[in-house]
Amino acid sequence: MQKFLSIPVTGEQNQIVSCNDIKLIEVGDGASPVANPTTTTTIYYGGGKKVTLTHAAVASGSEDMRDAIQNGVVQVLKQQWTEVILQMGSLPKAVSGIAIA
Amino acid sequence: MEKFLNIPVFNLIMNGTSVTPVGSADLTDTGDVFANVSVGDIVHQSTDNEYFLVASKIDNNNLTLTALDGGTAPIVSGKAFFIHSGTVSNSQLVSGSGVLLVEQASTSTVTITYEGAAAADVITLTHTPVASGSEAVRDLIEESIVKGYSSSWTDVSHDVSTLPNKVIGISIG
Repeated sequence: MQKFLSIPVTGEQNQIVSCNDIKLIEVGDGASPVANPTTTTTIYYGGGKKVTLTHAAVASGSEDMRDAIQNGVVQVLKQQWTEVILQMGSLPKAVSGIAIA
Repeated sequence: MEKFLNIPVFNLIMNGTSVTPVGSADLTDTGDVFANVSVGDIVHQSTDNEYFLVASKIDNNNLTLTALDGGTAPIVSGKAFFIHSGTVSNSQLVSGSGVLLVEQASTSTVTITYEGAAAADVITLTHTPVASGSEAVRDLIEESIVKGYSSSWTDVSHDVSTLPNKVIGISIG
């Protein structure tokens, strides 16, 4: 049962991001130690894949973007199986890019 | 069917490096860096991996501490430390799916290893210490995974309490 978040990306309309096999969602760009904690949020998947969202800056120490993504993941996973996508229209900050590594 | 553990992580207030303790203080720093620190907050002296609670705040540069794991107080100069709130937390989701093994890796860490060969398929929870030989936090995580999978598929997120131990950090890889 596949589920996705549909995330508006500046200048790119909406892009869908998988909500399956997520292990952790964390502030920062996935580097160790954490880098760019105010402007990136990373979704870690099984197998070592990660998707990093680049977004407008949150306040220092804020986890608002991480929490919004977490809430979206939980919401879409509890929807019935025919509702594959959750529109993330009200994120705290605008997303400017999505990358996978 | 995806399941998540919703784990409260106690907020980082500040971090720094200790200077030579002054008077009766167990931890001293400069610049009024303890202004937002309160009695009961958690001190992690990371250089030697020792844990304390704030017993009293002498002033904004000096604290007295109570050791949680036999740690050495006063904390001498040059030790890195992190202070976390003892009361304020923000919850973080950790996958309960595809778990191969949960292990009490040390008195202050629990690892969750997932299927998949990547080094990133391990999540580490760092928490205030359990007694030597105890696996209390591991057991709570295991119980939460089982509860999660025995609930309805629409119950995706399951609140976890590791009290009396408090999680202060979650990392992956």
